[in-house]
Amino acid sequence: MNLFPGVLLVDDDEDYLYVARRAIERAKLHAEVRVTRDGDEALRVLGLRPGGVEPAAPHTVVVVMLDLRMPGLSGLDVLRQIREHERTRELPVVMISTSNQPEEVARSYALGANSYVVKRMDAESPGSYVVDTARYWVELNEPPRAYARR
Amino acid sequence: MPVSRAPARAGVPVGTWPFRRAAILLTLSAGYFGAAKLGLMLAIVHASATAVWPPTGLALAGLLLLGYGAWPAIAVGAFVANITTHGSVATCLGIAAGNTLEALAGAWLVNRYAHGRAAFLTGLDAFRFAALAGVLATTISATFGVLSLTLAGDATWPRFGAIWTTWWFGDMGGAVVVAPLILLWSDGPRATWTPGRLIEAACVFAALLLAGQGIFGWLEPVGADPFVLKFLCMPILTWIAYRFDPRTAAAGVLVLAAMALFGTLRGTVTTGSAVLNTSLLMLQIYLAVAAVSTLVLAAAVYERSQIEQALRATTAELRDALAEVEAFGHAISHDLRTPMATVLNYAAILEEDNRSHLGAESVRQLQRIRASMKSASDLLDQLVKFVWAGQLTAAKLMLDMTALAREACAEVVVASEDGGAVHFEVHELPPARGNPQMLGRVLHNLLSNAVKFTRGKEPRRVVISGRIEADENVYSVTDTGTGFDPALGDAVFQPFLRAKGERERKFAGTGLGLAIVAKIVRGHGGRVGAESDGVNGARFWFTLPNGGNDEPVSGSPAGRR
Repeated sequence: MNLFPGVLLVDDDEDYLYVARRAIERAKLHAEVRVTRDGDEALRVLGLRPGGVEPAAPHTVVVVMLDLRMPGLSGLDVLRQIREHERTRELPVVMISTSNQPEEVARSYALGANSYVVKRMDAESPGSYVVDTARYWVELNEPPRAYARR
Repeated sequence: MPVSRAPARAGVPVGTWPFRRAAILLTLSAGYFGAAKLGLMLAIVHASATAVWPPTGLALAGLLLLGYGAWPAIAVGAFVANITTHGSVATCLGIAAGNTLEALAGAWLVNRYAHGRAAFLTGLDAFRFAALAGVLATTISATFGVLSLTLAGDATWPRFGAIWTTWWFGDMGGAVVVAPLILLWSDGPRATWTPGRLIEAACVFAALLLAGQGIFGWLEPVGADPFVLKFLCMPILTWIAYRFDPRTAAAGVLVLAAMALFGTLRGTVTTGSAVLNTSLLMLQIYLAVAAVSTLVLAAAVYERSQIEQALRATTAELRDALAEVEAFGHAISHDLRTPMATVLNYAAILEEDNRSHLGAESVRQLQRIRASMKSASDLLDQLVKFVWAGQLTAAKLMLDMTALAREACAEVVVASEDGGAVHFEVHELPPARGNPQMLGRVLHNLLSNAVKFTRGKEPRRVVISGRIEADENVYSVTDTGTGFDPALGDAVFQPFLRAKGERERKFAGTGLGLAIVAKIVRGHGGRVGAESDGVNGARFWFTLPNGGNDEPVSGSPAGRR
């Protein structure tokens, strides 16, 4: 069983997921990247919906990097459900979006997002902002007790 | 005309049901006969000439509503009313011809110049109606009628003027009091009546009746003719015209006319008939003035309400359209950004993973792909900012412009590779009212331009200064760069107009930086301008209104960004 701290990426854009995962792996971040393509799957991995296949996953995820605009459950829907459950109420959630519309930023924070990052076009090192964000939450941030590494 | 009119129904359906048409014409004829008989009861100067002649209004409204073809109804009604009262067949035919021609001419003039049946829906048309149908067309009937009487020996030439004047005033009163009432009540716009409005209407009409008693003694005779009091009705009628629809105003005028007529007849029963005729003539003038003033005001108020409504609808439409365009812009930028990022990322990954076995030419091609995509993405960012620059709903604060300029300098230094090599000089700037993010963007764009165009020049100096003028503050950013072609002038603020050399990629840019500056500044009520001799740098300036500088600067420094 892998007990690295988990970074849960939730995004419907396959290319973004590829680039993000590749960047994190290359950066030798000591983290286990979990990838989900929609909100339902993300909630299953977090153990908030039945059907999650990895029993340990809910306990290793230290940060959720959540796309704002997805078909089906939107990022804000997922965020709301994460905040509704006692166990995940304090789980760090970073909203990731191509948009920096003030209303969307404001709504995200109002629903309890811990951070909001705009997807960047980085010609030199693709996905470096994902690495930077993940590194902060994995290495620098002190997680709430419920998510302390075991 | 900008005013939407009452639905212009194509008259009463003619021919679909001939009986209906015949019934309507018969009613008009009978109505004319009845009204004429009533008027002739007050015939004093001559058995056929009266100072009160409501049929003129009925005939005019009838022709405007039913079409010119309804004229025989008028002719028959007029002839029968006269022949059963006084005069020979010949004189009565002459009088009837005058009455009919008056109505035809009046209706034609009103149709031609005052929008026909909709004449009481704009102030100007109401005036035209009064002048054309009330004053002008009525001379026809007076002339025909009095000529017929005089030629037949039924009246004498010396009396011609007096009879003619009575005839004319009587018709005039009928035209401006009765015709609007019929037109507005058969065809005019209806206001919605709330209980509050009904109570208000009841009160104001009660006031009118009360004032009418005071002036005309229609209920109880009053002593002397209280001439001054006659004006008392005007504020009440004005109130009705101002607060209610034109048809209610026409009803108010009718109430006034009825009270006045009744009171005048009642109050002068004992006086001689010559005095009564003078009273009736005075009354006609009074009523005509009151009617025209009230109806014109009511029409103008209605017109304004229609314009207001149209304006409101247009504004709402525009707001919706704008919101749609903005939403569309955001959606497009989102949808474009994703594939752009994909191209950019895979090009980078491809290069990174295969650098060792790719030829120099292939690497260069990949780098060109990335560079192009990067500039496309920058353009998209700027486009989004350009759209955003138009949103001025954001709150305006009193801003410490000096602090804002210093922040912008710091930002530009961080954002550009060589910003540190530029010497920035920020003078004390007068404070201004505005949106901190947007004015920050203005300074940012001007400063990053200055950094860009001082590249390769020595010394690289940028001065930000400001001064207070009569009703605006002027802020300028002066640099020691390459400047721009003086022939361009203020055209530099147009979107997508790039400085020479930019196309050759000497200066990277999207062509929107200064356009965004101009859009934001104009949105704040200011002006922009630029000066350069094309060699020794450039000066870009913008103004912000200072409201005469009577506003104190709030204690806190510039709004944080």
